[in-house]
Amino acid sequence: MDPRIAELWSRHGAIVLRRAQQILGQAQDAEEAAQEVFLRAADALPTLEARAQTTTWLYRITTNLCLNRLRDTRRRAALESRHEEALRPSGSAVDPVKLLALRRLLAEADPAQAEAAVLVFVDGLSHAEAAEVLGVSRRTVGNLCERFVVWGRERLSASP
Amino acid sequence: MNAPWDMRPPEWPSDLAIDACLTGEATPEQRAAVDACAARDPEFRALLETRAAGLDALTDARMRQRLGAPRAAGISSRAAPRRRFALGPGTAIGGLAAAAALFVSMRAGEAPQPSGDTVRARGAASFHVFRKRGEALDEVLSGDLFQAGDRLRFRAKGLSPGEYVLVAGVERDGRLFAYAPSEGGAAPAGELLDAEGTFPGAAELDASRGIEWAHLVHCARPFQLSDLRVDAETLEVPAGCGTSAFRVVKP
Repeated sequence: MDPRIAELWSRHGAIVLRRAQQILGQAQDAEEAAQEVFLRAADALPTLEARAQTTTWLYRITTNLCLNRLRDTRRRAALESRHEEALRPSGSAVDPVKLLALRRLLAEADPAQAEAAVLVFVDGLSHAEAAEVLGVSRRTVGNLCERFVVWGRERLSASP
Repeated sequence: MNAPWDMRPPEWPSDLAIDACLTGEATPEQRAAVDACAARDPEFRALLETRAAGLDALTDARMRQRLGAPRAAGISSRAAPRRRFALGPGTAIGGLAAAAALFVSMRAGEAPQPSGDTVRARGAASFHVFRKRGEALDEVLSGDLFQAGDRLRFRAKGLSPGEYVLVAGVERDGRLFAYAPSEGGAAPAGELLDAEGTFPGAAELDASRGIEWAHLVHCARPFQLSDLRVDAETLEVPAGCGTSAFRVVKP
């Protein structure tokens, strides 16, 4: 293991783990996702070292990997049955019950919209911050979030 | 049910801003937003402290094992804000009596074994750090949250009197400095430390932010701070020396 990854883990591991747990709602899933994030980071070290904010890069990778896991059908089935996962992860700023509901939406949403929704609604990023993480314009972030909300409202109203 | 996307207090800074502050990567705007919110909102301040304490989740051995990360102290090699280190008045007083007076409230032999994320190399002495904030003096764990003005005291257990010892600090940018003795030369433990293993003097933390390290280094032979090297992520010490590391988090 590259010592630079050990250092990266030392500085950012808890942050990635907390985010993964917040998005996924399950500790074991979160650990696996965090592990994958740092394995990806090992492959991307030259890119990472050139960035001013490693945190920004890790946010994007963590979001993508966690959303992929949420979309996994087996995990979605588990998500539906895990009401206890509404418990608020330590250090979380979000309402745990709403987070549980949002997770279900994220599992089915358009991937790009889901990515923007996690950053803006779960992590509380401004559109400017989210735009930087995603590498798109602020307007695009706004559009993605707006479409997610419209779709989410329809989805929730259609739910029994 | 309210819309699930309205799940955060809207006036709070983003998690990205918080995390950037904790890793020392925050922009001035992110830092200002976090500071302002922490100043006006006790609930946010509590969250900030919980989040900072969460850095200690790194002690999760299972995760380290999964990643295959070495259990060595991480040391930043990236450019970072300057760190200023000032010796408190305790250093001027120096000596065993001053150290003993500061720790009067602690019972002999009471100090717990290293915990938190303290990293102790095989054969190394145990390294204890105490924080004096106002009138309170507490033993702190590696990864605990510190602030400007906190004064640190150090204690080493398990050293033989003839071993040479010093506490080296490593700034976020990898620069080395001497916590104690402040002159940068290791001194025999039997001469420098009191009966409890406490170093004389105290170190006052400055206002810089981020994660820094304090390393206890002890060797059978005399050595200087200049004999130590920060090589990317590790502190290199002369052959045969022991080291223990302590992480100082200043969000």
